[in-house]
Amino acid sequence: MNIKKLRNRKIFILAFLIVCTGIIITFLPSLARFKNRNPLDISTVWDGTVAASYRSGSGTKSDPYIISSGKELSYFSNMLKNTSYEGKYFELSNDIILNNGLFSYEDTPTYTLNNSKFYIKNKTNDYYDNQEFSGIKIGTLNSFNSLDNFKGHFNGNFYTIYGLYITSSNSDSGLFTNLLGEVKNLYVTNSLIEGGSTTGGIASSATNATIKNVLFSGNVIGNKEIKKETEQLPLNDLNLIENQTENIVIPTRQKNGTITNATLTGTCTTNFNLNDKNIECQNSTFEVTLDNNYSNSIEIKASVALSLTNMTLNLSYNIGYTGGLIGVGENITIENAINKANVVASDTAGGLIALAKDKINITQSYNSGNINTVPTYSGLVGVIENLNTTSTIKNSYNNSGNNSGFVGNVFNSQNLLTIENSFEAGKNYAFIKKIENSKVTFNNVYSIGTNVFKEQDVEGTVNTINSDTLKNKDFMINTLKFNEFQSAENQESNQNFAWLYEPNELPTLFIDDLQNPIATLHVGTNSWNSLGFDDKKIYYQSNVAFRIEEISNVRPIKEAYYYIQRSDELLSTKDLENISWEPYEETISLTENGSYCVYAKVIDTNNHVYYINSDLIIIDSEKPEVKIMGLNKEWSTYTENLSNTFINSNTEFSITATDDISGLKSIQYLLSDTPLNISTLETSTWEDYQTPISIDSLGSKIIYVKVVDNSNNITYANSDYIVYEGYTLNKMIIGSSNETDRDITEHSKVTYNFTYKELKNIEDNISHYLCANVPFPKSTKITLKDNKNKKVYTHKVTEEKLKIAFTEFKELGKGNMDVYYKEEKIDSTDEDFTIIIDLKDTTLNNGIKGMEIYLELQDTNGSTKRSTIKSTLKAINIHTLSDSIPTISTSYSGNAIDLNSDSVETVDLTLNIEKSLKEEIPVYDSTFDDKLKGLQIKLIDESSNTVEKQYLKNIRFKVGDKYYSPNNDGITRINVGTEQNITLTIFTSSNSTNLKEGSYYFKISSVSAYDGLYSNLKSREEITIPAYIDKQKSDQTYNFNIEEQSDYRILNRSDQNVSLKFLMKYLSNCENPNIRISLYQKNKLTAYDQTYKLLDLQNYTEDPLEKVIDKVYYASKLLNSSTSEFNLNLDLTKFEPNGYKLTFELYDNNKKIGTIDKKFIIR
Amino acid sequence: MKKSKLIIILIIAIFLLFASGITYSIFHSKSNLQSDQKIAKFIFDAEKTDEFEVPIGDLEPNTFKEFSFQVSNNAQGKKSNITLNYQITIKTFHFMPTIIELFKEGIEEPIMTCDETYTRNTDNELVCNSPYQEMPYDTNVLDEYVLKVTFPKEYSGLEYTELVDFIDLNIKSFQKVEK
Repeated sequence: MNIKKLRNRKIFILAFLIVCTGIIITFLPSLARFKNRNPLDISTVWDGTVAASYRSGSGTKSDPYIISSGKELSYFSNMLKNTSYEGKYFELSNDIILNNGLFSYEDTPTYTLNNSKFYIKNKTNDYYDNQEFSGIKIGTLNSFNSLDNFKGHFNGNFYTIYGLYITSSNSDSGLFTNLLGEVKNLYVTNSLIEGGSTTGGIASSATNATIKNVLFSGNVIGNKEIKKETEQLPLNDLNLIENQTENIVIPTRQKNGTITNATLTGTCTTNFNLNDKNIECQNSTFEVTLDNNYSNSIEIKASVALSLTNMTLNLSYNIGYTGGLIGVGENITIENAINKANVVASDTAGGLIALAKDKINITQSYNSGNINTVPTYSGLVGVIENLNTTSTIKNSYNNSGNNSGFVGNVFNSQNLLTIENSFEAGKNYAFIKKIENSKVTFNNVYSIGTNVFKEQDVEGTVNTINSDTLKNKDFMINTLKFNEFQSAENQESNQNFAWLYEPNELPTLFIDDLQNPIATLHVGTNSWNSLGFDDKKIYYQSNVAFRIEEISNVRPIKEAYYYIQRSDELLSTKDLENISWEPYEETISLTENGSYCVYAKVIDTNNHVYYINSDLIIIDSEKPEVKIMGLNKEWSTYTENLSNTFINSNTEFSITATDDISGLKSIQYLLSDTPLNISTLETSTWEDYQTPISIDSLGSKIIYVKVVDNSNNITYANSDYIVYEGYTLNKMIIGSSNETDRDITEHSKVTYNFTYKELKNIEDNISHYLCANVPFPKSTKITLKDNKNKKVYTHKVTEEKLKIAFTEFKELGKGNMDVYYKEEKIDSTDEDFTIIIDLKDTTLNNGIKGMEIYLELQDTNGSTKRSTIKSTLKAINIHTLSDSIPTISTSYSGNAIDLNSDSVETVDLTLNIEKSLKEEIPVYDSTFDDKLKGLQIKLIDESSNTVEKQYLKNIRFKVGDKYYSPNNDGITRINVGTEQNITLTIFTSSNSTNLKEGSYYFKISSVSAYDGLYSNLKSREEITIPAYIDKQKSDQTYNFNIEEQSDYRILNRSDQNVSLKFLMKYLSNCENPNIRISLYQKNKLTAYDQTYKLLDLQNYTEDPLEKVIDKVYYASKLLNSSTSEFNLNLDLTKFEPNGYKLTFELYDNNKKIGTIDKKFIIR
Repeated sequence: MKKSKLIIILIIAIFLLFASGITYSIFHSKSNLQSDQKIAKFIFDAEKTDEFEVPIGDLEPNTFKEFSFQVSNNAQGKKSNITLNYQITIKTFHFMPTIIELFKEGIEEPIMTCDETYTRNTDNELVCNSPYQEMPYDTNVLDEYVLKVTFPKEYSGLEYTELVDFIDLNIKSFQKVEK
């Protein structure tokens, strides 16, 4: 920016400078903030509450915590009670208005609101309309709690915290207290901070901290009740002879502050004179109060020999530190910082820092605020003390209104402080008031006032200069290296090009307001009065007009020009000298969509040229474009005319939006079950779109999208009904009952059940299809059951295909008529189909992996209108393997069975179906599902010939409760159902079998058959149970027989008594034959259980019977002949209606030879 | 119980409600009822009860016997002048694993299969009641029935030898009351 000097304005400018600070503090904020920044919108004021979180962010450098309001700033304050956010990043995203009235301080703090001035009661938030604070308070201020112990990075993004009010009885007060981090790019204006003993506008105290690009204005008021501290400094002993005079060596004090009291104490031997004052030595001790000049010298005179020992210099201090930016700073870096605040302190004060210790580096900073304090330890920096490393102040100046110099006091800092390229602009103020035990280096330093320093205290000189020279741009640039700001980009790489120049003004930093604008550039409702460096954007939806306005007729505009830059690039000062300006005559409208930056060039009557530019103006009257995309479809407009788009699986829809002019501000969406009109959309709650929208639940949804560009043009769009529905595969069963296996053999059968509950009406001309993701194998037999309409259809696949129309299925039960499935208008609310896929006739050359079966509805064009919900589908793997076979195993290890004896042998068997394996995965063969397991038992001889039935009459088998005997082919077939583990009992009886002597074998195999009996599918293995016939036993024959001589088969209880007669025949070689008789009753009233229980025959007859054992009696004893008669009178009234048997047993002594049962029933 | 060969066509007139039964004994029973012959014609004008035994000692697994009978409302030109309903009841112990089926001429499926799903009475007899049959007063009715008793082949074990059982066949008629 090239600004020519103004002529003949010295008085006006001087007066303006004096008033400037007051204007900045008290005048309307819109003017004070009128540098190339839009006026602060103070309409949204913090309500004093605390937010629940930051606006966003995680605290990292790339994703900082964003604070956008007073609530969130207050939340920040609360959070700092628990954490210091060490290493974390914070940014402002908005101006923050904490109080919207104007603060001022004139011995008492005041608050001006809506042009009315109110008085703030000391140390409270209340304000009154009178200085006595009587009556009812007018209102309450929003008091802010300091941000304490912050160790992170705070970036204000050049936004403003406005109306900061802190009133505290704490010893530390400031926006930050105990700052150990970084604060940058921040404006804090219209502030009022009333603090304690350590008070600062930005930070009460800061250690290892950095302040950069910060402007602070307002009022910083230190506590009048300041801290008091004491210090004891030991002195060397003093021994004087008569009339000797000596000066006491005063040691360096360690503390700063205003000494309020100094005493000298010690022990003495006699009275003496101190600084011409007689001191009495009482009880060998003395105490002397020193005046404020003690530090110059303490002279001791001895009239007689004198010894002074244990001397101590006792000091009391008042310590209070009040700084415009910082109260107390240790190891501080300040760069591009400005204090304009009024600083009121009771002790040490400074425009930038009140007290700096350890290390201080100040670059390109200045103070223009009033410093009011007694005593006068004040200036740009109040006190610098105890530096322990090289520190520098450069390219900085103090321009305080009153009562200060560049630095108040430098203390205990030998050869460690350098001040260069800096100046003191206040008249008659010492550059440095006091240097104690320090040496300061000056390099190219100027002051309006004259300075004299002790030679030992300084290196170099402070040059005297007049104020006009300090306002000479060339001097400032060439001599003091206050380089002129060029552009924002330039400033980033050349940070010392930071100064703005106005005619007859001290240079100001690029972040500061102009001192003396001449004209205002208005664009719409926004205004600027200088050349700006940032590229903030302002958006309009339609035409906007701009005009150039003279600020005051005291400084009239001679010529005005304008230039419209049609891009978003800012011009540098050099560019502005080379563009073609248009003369400005009247308001000009910007009408076309696009980006503008309006430049104004104004020339005053002294031919000074001023440049002004707007922020980036973007006119965008066009609505953004939007697309909702998914399923290879796009929707880009709002419509109330919706059709259906069907999906059968979770589907994602993405949104893209563009706005070529102003850019996008937000993309939001909502899901609705019902259509929404525009007025409803305008008041709906929207969600920010970040990732594709997933429709993942059944139902019907409409996706609405709202896109807003930065000019607040709004576009709405919506999708069709996204209908997530379809058939549901409820069950898939392999064979008859297996629901879990997925690997099956090629001849298996699979049953599917599909149901559907209609959500949306389906249009006409829709057909059903049975589909698969791999072709149905040729010869697949498919049964289709329409469970709703109770109809069954079949179809045989004649050639491989992926889909089969229902209309190809022929209805069963129609005899010779060919009736096929008929598509009818779907007006029902649900469907229920069972599909049976039977592969038994197929011949696959290769297996099929991952076959999925599903139903679809398609229109006449083949478009799918409804499919099967994908998540319900189940895949099967069909393997071309050999069929499974039955297996049988046993753990039987018994002895060989004597076939000619009464024996009972139990054999535990395990029957299984051996599955084929495909790479160690068992493959299910459903052809076994409907089959039953069975046993086939045969008896073979030594030559492996099957023994004929006629020789097997004494053998029977039992499984469960049932008994089994050989069939005519000599094989006993037993259906065991679906049991896996069974117990086979083999019964033999000693009745003659006529089998020859020798070894025999029971061969037991398992079968799988529909009847559990007859099948060629036998187990590979056979269980072998050895048996034998004993030669000796087989030679014996008994011809035991019982012939009934009376009717006994069906008896009636009503007959009461019956007399039975039996003829017992026997032919034997027994030693002692006897026949025993016992009575049995059927256990169960059924044909299918032929078991009996033993009764006591004696209870059913009055005949005396000779007992053999319990319930067993002799029918004939000691038979002498081959025939014996047995008579038995039964009392039929003792019987229940049931089945019975009389069991006759032939014994040789006690060895049973044979048994004959005689069965009868009693009604 | 006498054994007797019996080829009998019985005519029983029944006017009022009464019951008559025929007992058939099977498996070495004394009756001589032979299969495939009309053994009874029940006419609802008279009442008579007889016991009949069926000699089925040779009823072995995989064989069956059939016994035919008739039910009528007229005989020798005389007819009942009221509408009658009748019900056939079979009673048996069912200690033999037989399938007892009652067929009515003109109906392919048995009108009743007497098995152990029916309940037993206090005498432990399995009681199987057929559906009611109607004989209108104005029609000459002659209903022909066949009782078929089958011994399934699978019951060939030793425990199924020498079994004994009976079958009672009872016909009960009563006047139909119009609603």
